[in-house]
Amino acid sequence: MEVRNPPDPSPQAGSPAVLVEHLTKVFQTSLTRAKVPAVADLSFRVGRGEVYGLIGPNGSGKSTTMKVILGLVRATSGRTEVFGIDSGQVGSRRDVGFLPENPYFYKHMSGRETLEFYGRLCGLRGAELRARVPELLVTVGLESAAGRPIAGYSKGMLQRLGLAQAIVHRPRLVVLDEPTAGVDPRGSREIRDLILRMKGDGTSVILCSHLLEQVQEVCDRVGIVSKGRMVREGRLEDLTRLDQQMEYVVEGGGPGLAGEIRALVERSGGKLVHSGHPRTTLERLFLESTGDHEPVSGGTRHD
Amino acid sequence: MTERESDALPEHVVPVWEISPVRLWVLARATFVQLVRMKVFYFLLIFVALVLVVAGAGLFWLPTEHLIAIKRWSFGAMYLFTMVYSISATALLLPRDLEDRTLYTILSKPVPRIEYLLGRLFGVLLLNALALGVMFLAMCLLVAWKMPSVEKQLVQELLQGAGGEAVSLAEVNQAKADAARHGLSPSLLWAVWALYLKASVVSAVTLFISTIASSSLFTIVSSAMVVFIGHFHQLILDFWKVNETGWFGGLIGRLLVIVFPNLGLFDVVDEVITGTPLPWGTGLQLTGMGLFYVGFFVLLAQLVFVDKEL
Repeated sequence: MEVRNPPDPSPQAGSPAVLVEHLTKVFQTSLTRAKVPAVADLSFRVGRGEVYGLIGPNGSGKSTTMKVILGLVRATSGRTEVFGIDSGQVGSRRDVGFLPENPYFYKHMSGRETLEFYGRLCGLRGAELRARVPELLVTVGLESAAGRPIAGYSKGMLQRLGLAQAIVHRPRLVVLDEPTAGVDPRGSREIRDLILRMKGDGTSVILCSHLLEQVQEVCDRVGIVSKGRMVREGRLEDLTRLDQQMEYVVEGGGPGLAGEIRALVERSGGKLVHSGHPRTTLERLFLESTGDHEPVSGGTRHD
Repeated sequence: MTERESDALPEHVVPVWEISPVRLWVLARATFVQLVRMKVFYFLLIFVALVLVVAGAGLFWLPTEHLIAIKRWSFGAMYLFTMVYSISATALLLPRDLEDRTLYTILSKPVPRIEYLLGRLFGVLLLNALALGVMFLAMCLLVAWKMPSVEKQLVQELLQGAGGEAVSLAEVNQAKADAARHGLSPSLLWAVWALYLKASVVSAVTLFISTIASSSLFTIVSSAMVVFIGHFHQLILDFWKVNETGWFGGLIGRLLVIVFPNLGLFDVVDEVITGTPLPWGTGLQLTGMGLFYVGFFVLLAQLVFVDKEL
């Protein structure tokens, strides 16, 4: 059964799926009360229907940022909103699905019971829940293991179940932390396809992953976080474009100087197929942004 | 980029500005099932075996003492079960959810933290209620089964004591009344209710400690200590009043009395099983105190948990 959304006259209408403005989070150790900064003045927004990749090295503050968005951790300062509602309010989570990294569920439950449990927590009832659970089990390929206790599930199966519980109530925002961790290549591809389907359906997605190729495949925009700060952000095609270089893709032609190529190709009977800025890979950009590699131009620098 | 057709929230989403009884029930039921599947009810088999042994060992007691023994052993087993499970089951819940990160997936749904706490607590209370109910019923059946033979024994003793002389009907009725006084009475319900209230208070205390503690072990040890001290509440109060303890001793005494719940209040079993009736007023007073303590410790747990960084 598809959910039909009635018109929303609220002031939140038109607000982005996620708005993070000058977010700072400082943890205090329990005994010494020493301050440990996790996120510093981080700002970004995720548009409705957009797939946003939040990437960064381990300990860069990605998980803390996600936890603030989900209301699991309070911000030290700054503003975080989900569909226009402060993320500290429970109401901001009614339309959010979350898949944590390496999710664990109650081992005494079966896969089906787990989805029913989370579905009920999200307000699904009766026939709708009974229809939704099998549909999801098929979507994530767990229909044959639905009745088995989770204690016997592999890591990949848990991941698939985690994804299913995240989308059980058809949320408008899905936050995925390493959604393909422990999943085999085929399963990984299926999850990627599922993200693309969600995107096609207008669902906003925040994706945290170390599989940069996957991020590059599905994300509209990417933010690279390092040491709690946003060091690079923008559309993928902008970020990966190398402004200082030109690229020529020549069919049947040979190498030559830029100004003479077209004439040379035409003179030699060839055809200039494409010219423009060459692109780097997201992986390379990531390493350059977070390590000691030579920086590249493109996108919005935040440092 | 495709936009969904509107900004509105899905219809099926439950309003979150108030505590949802349905979500509470979902959480409580999940907790109950979780504990049941941990095979906690195996204890009931031990209980049944124990009371059957006591019931069969009638030769060692006088007739009315036999009834008291059945009740005493049954209530002892009930006490053991409820205390052990109230502490250990509650202590397992929150720290394990935190450690396994199950808490993330639950609280990232529209579930207020107070609902999570209450749902978990209600699950444990449900388990205690069912287990106590079954054990109490088993005890009552056993006492009811033993009653006719106890009455018969008492009447026989009366006749033997009369040495062949006639025994009046009033004396026979008195013997039966003695047996009935040690049999089933409405006060037994108050006794089991008091035990349940005490277990509920212990569960609430354990829940509160688990919001502060980072491990189940710490929670279990601390809760056991609270239960231990809670039983000596009156003793501490008397000692503090009677003795010159100085300002430091007085401070410690005051703190202990304020911080630790008075679990001794709920110890009415001994009077009840020896046939002393429990007045309604006392029962209602116990109920009020039990509810107060549960509410108080749930409130403390919520105050800690609401801002806990997960």
